[in-house]
Amino acid sequence: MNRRGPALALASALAWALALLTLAGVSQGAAPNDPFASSAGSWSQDYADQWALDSLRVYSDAASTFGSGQAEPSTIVAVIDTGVDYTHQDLAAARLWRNPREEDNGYDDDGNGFIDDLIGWNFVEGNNNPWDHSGHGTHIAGIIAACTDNGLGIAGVDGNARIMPLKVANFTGQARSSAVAAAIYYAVDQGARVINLSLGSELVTELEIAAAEYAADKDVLIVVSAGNRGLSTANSGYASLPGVLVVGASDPSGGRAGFSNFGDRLAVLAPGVEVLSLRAEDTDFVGLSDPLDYDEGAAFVGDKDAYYRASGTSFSAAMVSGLASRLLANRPTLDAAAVRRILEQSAIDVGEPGVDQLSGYGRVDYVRALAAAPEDFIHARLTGVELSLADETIWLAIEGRADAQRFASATLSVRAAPGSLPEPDPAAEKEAKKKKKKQGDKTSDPSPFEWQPYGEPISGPVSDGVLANLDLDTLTQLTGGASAWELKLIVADENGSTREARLSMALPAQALPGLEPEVEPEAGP
Amino acid sequence: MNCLRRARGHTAVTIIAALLLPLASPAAESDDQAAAWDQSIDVQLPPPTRTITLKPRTDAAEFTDRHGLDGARITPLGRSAGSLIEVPMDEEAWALAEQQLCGGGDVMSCGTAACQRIQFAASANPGGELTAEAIEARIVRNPPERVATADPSEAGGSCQGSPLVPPLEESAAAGTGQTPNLDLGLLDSGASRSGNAQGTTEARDAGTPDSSGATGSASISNSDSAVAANAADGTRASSTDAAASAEAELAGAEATSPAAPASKQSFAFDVSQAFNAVGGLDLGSDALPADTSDYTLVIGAGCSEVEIPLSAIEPARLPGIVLALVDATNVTPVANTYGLTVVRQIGLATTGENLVVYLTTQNVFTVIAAMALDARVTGAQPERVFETTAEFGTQTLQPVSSYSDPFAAMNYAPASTGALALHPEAAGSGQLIAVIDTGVDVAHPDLAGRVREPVDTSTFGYGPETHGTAVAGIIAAEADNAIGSYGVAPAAEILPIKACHPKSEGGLRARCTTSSLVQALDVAMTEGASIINMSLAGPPDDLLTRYVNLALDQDRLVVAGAGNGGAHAKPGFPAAIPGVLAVTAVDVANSLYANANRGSYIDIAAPGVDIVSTVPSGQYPPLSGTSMAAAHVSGIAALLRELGPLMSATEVGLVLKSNTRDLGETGTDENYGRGLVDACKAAAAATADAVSCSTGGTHASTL
Repeated sequence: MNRRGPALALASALAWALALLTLAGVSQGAAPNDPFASSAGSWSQDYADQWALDSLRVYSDAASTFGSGQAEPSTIVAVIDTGVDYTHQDLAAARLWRNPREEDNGYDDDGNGFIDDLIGWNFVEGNNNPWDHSGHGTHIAGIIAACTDNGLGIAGVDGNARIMPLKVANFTGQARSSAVAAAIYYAVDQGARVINLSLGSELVTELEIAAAEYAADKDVLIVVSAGNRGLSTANSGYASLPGVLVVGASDPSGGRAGFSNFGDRLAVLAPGVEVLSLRAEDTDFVGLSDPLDYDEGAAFVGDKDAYYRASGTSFSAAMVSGLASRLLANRPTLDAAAVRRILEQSAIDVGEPGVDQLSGYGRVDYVRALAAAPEDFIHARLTGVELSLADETIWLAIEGRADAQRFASATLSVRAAPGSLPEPDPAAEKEAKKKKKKQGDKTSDPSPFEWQPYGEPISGPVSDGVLANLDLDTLTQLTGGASAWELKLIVADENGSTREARLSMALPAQALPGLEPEVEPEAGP
Repeated sequence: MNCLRRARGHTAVTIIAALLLPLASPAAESDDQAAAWDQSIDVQLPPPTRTITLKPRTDAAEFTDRHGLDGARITPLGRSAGSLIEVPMDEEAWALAEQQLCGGGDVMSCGTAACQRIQFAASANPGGELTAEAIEARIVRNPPERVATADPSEAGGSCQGSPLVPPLEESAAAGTGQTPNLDLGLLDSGASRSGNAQGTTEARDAGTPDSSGATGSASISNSDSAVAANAADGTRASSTDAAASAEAELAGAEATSPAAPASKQSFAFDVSQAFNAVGGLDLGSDALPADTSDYTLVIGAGCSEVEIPLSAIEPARLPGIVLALVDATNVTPVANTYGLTVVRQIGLATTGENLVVYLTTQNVFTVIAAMALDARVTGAQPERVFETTAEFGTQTLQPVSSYSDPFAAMNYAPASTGALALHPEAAGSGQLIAVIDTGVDVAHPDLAGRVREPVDTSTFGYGPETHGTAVAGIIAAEADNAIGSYGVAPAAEILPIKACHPKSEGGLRARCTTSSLVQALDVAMTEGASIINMSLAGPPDDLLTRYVNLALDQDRLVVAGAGNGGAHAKPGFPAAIPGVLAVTAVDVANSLYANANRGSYIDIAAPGVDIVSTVPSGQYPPLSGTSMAAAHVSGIAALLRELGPLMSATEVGLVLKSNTRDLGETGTDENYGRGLVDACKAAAAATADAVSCSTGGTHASTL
């Protein structure tokens, strides 16, 4: 289906071959018997059909038992989306939440205002039948909780989860914001512990914000997708809702997918490229986004075209919803904040070292998440820089987070961004050295492209705010006059463990004279 | 469904959809089908959704009533957070409403719903996400009528084995097994309006292989400026500047721009192409869903949508089936001549005719055209599909009183029609009412003892089923036994004829055919029914019309539901046959049932929204539809026939029509016909005031 941008396409074969080698090291000892969980190349690709399961390590030896029986308690995961094809062979009614206080009789038995809401609700048409005319919601539901170890089709990330389908989007994939808000309230009140919210646009209304606050109050984790435009928009739309966990996409090589939106609220990455899941009857939703290079039916996989592959951060969010669901099943006493912390802290760093705008804390990993202690954390995050003018000096307020369970120290350092300075003129270089020699300065000046401490170490933890106020002159001096920099934050705890965060930034050309309030954080390629 | 929200005084975009059928080779077929599909429908897109959040413990239903918020939907927002009212309203009305409603009091906040959207995967076009304002149309298969549920007592839930709910019964008609849910591209208007094939081919450069001359054209055109818009996905169609501008205009008109004029928008699309576009199926025009009753045309504009049952646009028929009237001796020779297989023969007692159901592998219309010239064949036609006209109730908040006495609160109908007040005078005794429907539960305690031996003409076998039992219950459920509901004519006798078979177990949707209905009418006539209730609707059909007319000639009153196709539907038959009493449905507040057909053929209105009746499970779910309304009128007709035994069926019909409570526009109108049926007035008229009763009186005293 080739939904990938050109950049990603270039990265493909080699990187993925490499990924296969890496992943081969992960034992499949506990693999479920669903055929797609262990097959590869079903659409002539050179990696596993359900590569995401390997990447997440949900069925590796080190992960705990799985099963579709009653071994583990079930977490209720609300899927606020286009509905669900509940007749799918690999998503039996048993995988759906069943409202225990409602009967199929035309009356509102549980008095919640919804008549016969047996498995969820259709907020589009106002009835109890959240049927999926798009296919998107079914794909998400399958990723989270497809029937697992049933010898059929795919395995879900959490084969024990119960899906609560809340249909808010019509066949074109569009939803009234009021319906989304109402669905969040419904999910929270009916006992969902995780809400998958793979939609949103720039405009967020008060209704959704209030609903997200309600969910946070009631300890329900909302997982949202970062978006698929490859732009810095992961701070807007639903990613800006209070308390939500924002998820971007990783590809089979383990790196960030080129289409994955980024920003300072991006928390983690999860597999989101060529994700195999369930196909809702009579649907083919990839055609909706860009049919030019898509032949109808090209994304169908398997017998009876019952499965479907698609890319997008929507599906990355579903992966994380599934992981969260499994974590909660394993450790029911965790609260939403702890689940979020564990997923972030145990993520595997991707791309640039440390926490950054493009990949957040990195790629989620179930084995590491299981091993993580919920209270154990080191947060390092650089979210932005604000400029101000005082005493004829331009000050930079470095904002972010430097925190740890047992905070020891935090330091900022800086270097010139690659390519931000002209290649040094050899003659001038020589001249400068001469000058230094004359002055008796024996230490050689560090290259502006090497990390140099910037400001004093940060004395105490900062959970969300200004880490340091530093002046621009120092910065330019340190970096040989560069106007684009990379900033690094290293947070250490008393055990000597550290976490690193990075932020690329540049002065906008017009910033200095008029003193624009903000430095645009710049993110990568 | 709640597809068409009506709001007062808004300026919505009107869309006219013309369905163009591909020109297939046999001339007879293409003429016949193209004529059927080439038509326009007016679609009015709803204005933006406004939201009013009410404080906790505010009675939202009371609030919407008090402020006359038509078409409002109420959704609770959690246990402690109040409730949400969503109401479609244009700028002008909203400005006014905001002033009046949003200043405090019970209201927490007011706003306009934004369109959120699924973000589809990245693509060559990073902006490949759908624009909120785009308009798209699709044909989708109807979802299963009931949701799948696991046993609530089962804690973990098992995935072994097949899903609990089997997939929808395969549509025999589509003949493909795979039916698509897809978008109908909207293209340059010039090509599509003239219905030629060129537009399509250009449009679908990378599309599926075209079947027999698929004219895949679709367009939005603005009749004022003749601009064209492309499809919502923005890529299928030609990328003319005009396309963009029309889209923008649509957006403006639909959304907020006050300057945007209310302009007529028309678009056309090709259904054959639509059904080709998924799964690489190469369907001929024969493989179009001849049985359209399983599909819905959905038009989406932003996050609003309008749904139109496909059968309301194009009549359904069973593929490969030819009905013919042929003497018994000629059945086989005729089959041999045309290469047909005899499926079954139905001897019709009332006329002595022999109705033969033939199966052909050829094009149905070609065979019929040939048979028309054959002296051995009296008449030949396709086997058309009819559907029962009811759905499960859709109200989202239940009446406050329903906890203590659910059925008294819900069963408003007999009181509102005056039937209840007539019961001391007449309860329908001596009247035999044929219920041509799905199977009636003859053992139901509410009906037991007053049900004749049932007959099956559906060929699926008789059994107790939801729709038929509900209809029979409305007509004649026992009144004095304290079991849930009571009928309009609790002393009448029911002749259950199963001509329709449910599409899913326990479901209300059922399919009947020309042959099963004709046979059912024949049975009703031979058994001597004085009233024939047909709570079903479908396309015009010669053979059915003949037998309905025969029944009318025999002084039998035929009552039919107007149809549940909504405002855009074509007339529903048999209701639209002159002489048949065509009944539309209203709710407890006498407002029109949203999915009711409209038209000049509608005679009268009766309660048909959230009606409580008997169903085989022993439960009493609220049901809605013109089916329910027709049943009420049949019951009242039984009371009148008892009171005025000398009146002819035609006279009973006339008395009912001319003694109504006017609804809607003054006088007869296309929504309510003559208005709400009034048993009291009618009885007074029928008996020259020998009977008097009043409609506003006692409520459910027999319960």
